[in-house]
Amino acid sequence: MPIIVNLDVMMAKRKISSSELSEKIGITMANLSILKTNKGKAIRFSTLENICKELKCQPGDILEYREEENI
Amino acid sequence: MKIIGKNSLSNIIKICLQIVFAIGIIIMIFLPFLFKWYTLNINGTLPYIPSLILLYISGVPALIIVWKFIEMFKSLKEENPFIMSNVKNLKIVSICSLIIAIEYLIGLFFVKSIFSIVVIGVFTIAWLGLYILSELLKQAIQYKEENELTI
Repeated sequence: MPIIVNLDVMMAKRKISSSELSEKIGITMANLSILKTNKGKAIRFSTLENICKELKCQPGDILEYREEENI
Repeated sequence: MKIIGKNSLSNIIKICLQIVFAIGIIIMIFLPFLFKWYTLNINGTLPYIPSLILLYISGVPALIIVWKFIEMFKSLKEENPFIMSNVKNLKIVSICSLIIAIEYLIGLFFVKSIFSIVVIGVFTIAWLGLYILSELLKQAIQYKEENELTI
């Protein structure tokens, strides 16, 4: 999918672990892992809001659009 | 009473279907003798060999239908009916229904009975209905997957 979730980069910048973040934003570790590995199909605004609130960032810092390369 | 899960209505139906399947196999094995007895004692108007062939050819898809329903009810017992194998099972059942309908349509030329017409009608409706249901289940699975991957 051309939309890439750069959550791990932002988490490294803020020095926060997956378990800590999942607890703070109220989602399970399994769902956070799906999000981090780009396996998710959609993200709720409420989840995005919580992530931005906790990581003190903008949605654009987490989400990125990259054109699909034709190999 | 619970509809799906362990000790539920679907589990009771599954056990009934398993009994039906076992009886079906026994009937298939002893069909020549049973049909001979039927023609001698109850209804002697049916031609023996064409009727027997018709019953054997329709018996196999009928057993496949029961077997596939057992598999589907197993998934209901495990409370996980939204799986792709159930879509495949429903498609197989619908194709088996079509085979039975066609067989009885051809058989109508050799064995003339009102029962055949009823069978053709019922299995044609079953073929179309189950085919649509399988497509519905496929869409439901896609929705479920999308919902599960929305975080």
